Amino acid sequence: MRRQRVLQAEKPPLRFQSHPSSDTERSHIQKGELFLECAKRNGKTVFTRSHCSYPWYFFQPLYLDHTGCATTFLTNPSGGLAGGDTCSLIATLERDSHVLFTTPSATKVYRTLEKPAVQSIDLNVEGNAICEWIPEPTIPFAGASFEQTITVRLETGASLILWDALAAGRIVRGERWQFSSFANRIRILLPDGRFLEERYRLSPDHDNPCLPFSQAWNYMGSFFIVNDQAPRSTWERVKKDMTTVIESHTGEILGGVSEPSVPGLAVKVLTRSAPDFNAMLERLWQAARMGLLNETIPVLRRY
Amino acid sequence: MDTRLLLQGFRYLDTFFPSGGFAFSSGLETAVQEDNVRTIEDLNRYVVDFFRWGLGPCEAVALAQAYQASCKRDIDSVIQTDNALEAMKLCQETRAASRQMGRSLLHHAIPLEENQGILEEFSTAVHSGGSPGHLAVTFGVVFQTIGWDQQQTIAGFLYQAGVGFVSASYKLLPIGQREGQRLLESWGPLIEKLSRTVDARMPLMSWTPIQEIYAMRHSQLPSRMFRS
Repeated sequence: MRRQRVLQAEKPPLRFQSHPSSDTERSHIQKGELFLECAKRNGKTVFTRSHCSYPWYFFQPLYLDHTGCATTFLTNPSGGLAGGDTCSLIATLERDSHVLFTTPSATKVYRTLEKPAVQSIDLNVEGNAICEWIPEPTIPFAGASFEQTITVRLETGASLILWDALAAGRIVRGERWQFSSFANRIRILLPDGRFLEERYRLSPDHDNPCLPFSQAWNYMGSFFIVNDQAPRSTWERVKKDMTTVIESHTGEILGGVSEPSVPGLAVKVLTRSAPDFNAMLERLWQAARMGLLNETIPVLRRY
Repeated sequence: MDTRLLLQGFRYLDTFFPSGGFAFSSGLETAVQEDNVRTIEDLNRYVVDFFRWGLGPCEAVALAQAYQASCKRDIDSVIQTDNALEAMKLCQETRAASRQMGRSLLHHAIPLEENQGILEEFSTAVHSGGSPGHLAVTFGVVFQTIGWDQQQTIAGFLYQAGVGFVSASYKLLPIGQREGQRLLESWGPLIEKLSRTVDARMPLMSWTPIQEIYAMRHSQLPSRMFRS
């Protein structure tokens, strides 16, 4: 406790900035900020400093297994993102800490009239820390416009397990590929300057009226596992396990595993149904956790 | 354009040029073996998708950035673009193919130039491991050096990719040469549009999950005509 007080005294207060709406913005536009600093204390990861502003909210750490991994659910009590909303998250995982970020439900993006909804995630993972980013999919409603950036900075020996998922719309009501635009950028940066990037912008309503091949699928996921110190044999084993997961799944899925430009694995998955998608995520995540951390995945009990 | 330089560019685009492109199918072999590309219409959709969402907004933009940097003799920007393209290529097979073809073009282009300038610098960077040497970036530097304009260079690059798909499809699908020529002709307006609209100031973007997955799965095929 004393050490924690000393640490807090040494650091500047967390940046807090209110964002008054301009005249041209609607009054209900949300500017949420979430800051987290995480450290390992007595075998458990704790949140040493935190701050959030509406609509971000996070749950205090849950310890779902023996590893001391802090699991936190990131929530948005307003139900979803609307045009003009901006949500940013900045988290620092100190050396040896382990945090699992997840969400209790899908991120819904409502129909957008003018500005897009924007979400930016910055994860700074210090040496030997472990960061797991496993949110539910993003569902852009018909007419929605959304921009997301996820930037992860990994220090030497840090591990990342990251899942990013997109649903083509509200599938059950037959709404598919009707959003206005969806821009996504994921960057994973290593200390030696190497990096991995996934970046795209989809505008199915406008200049590209159809995505002939992709359009047949309803759920798309990208899964990344990165660690610059893991031996090649680890990636070979995990790749084999993940390939088996994909090949042995009986539902309608299409997936592949490969080695990206940084030490690790990149997985792409497409499915037609949500149950297949969730099952695939669970099994891929299990293979990643077992291969990299020698641990099984926790039971999140979202529903 | 100087006829000699025009012919030099043609030679680099020709299927006889030993870039090694004939050995790769960009996932098409997997798509065919898994029964997802069976007809000429399927092939057309596969390739048009690839042009619109991968080769256009990613490779062609990288080419344009390299071309512009080459104009300014800015080797650092060329290398930066090369590294950005490396980072965007999630599939090892695709990355390796692009690097191999780029290095091959660089290797054959170098001896013919008297005043090599940035081409020499880029070649040194690639061979020392300082730059990956991807095909699109190498195209930008080589064709800028020999005097083709940016639009022509992008059109040539995309046309060569189209020819590669048609060539691969002759081995994989029941498609004859007349159909192949018709496909190439039908892709002309899209290639022309992309070569005209690609802007070097745009960021690299790519959305070809199907083609990427098929490329990722290629090495697992029980029998293969193309390299992984």
